[in-house]
Amino acid sequence: MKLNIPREWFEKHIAADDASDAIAGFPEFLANRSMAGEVPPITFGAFVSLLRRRESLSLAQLAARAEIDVSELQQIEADEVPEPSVVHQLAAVFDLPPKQLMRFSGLTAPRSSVVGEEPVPYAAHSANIGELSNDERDLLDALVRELNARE
Amino acid sequence: MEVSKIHLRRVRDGTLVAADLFDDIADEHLAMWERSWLPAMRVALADFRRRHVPRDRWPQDLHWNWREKAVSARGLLGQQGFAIVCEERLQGMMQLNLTKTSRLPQQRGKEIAYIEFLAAAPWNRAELIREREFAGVGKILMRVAVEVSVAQEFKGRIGLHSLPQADAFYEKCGMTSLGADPRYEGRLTYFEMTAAQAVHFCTV
Repeated sequence: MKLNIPREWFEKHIAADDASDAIAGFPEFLANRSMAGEVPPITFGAFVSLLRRRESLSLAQLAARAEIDVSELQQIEADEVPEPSVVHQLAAVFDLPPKQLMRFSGLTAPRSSVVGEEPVPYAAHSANIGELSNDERDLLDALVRELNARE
Repeated sequence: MEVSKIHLRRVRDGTLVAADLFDDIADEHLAMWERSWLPAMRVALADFRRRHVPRDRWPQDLHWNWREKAVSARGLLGQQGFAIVCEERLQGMMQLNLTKTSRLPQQRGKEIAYIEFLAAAPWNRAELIREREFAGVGKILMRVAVEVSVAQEFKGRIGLHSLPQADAFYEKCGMTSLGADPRYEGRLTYFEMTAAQAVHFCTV
């Protein structure tokens, strides 16, 4: 983003003899605890994948419900940046608040990705529709709770 | 990556100097951090050790690994890094988190731009060096956080955790202290800036 802060603000607010030091953030001694009580971060793609598997949907089935291409869904699960409209469609399928889904803490998607095209049909119909483990279910429940709590 | 024009104040002669604000902590900035900032921090650390300065008086960012922070944040939605470069040197960095909400009663639950990490380069800091090069890095990065908050339609609301040494600075910026945060052993003070405070902070 391009910022346009007028020169006058710098003139007025920044004095050479203002020796105050601004530092913010967690010091090392607390770094490991900074996530205490928070849901562990997972990628947006992993989150979508968990949601899909919770519903026992294949990639093809979810893509059909969300009205998106299978290849697009597969790219999202591989952590390609999703289009906002697709996030909205996925939010609708899983009954999640779309705005929070876009912003949800810890949901990640690389801004650029080097993930190549995978052979879609095989993955779409066979792989990765196994049941969630207990850990995965706990994580997913916590994420969904948090998402709804923010709405 | 977009570049915005900003100004730092050179401490030596009090003049304003043009600087670049990058809306990303890119590889070139991390290379600068490794080349000059990090060695200067190591010198400061050695000096603190030699003078037997108690550990809790050390700058909290002595061991921050900006490469780790920046690279891991690259994958995150709602994370935004900033770097200030002036006279071909890195002068400060900030990492924003746009997924947090306010704790102040009058705006509880509303989105804020949360300053996850903010630091000026060691040569711009009074507690690390006798003659600082540039003043204003911290304050400008706060202003940037407010601008991002406005752009996100968070109305300028921001929040951050400060160590006691920096509390006075954030009070002077017009922020509201919510006191020592019990979640972090009471060692960090949590501050927020309301929309009204942000307007005041940005007034010329």
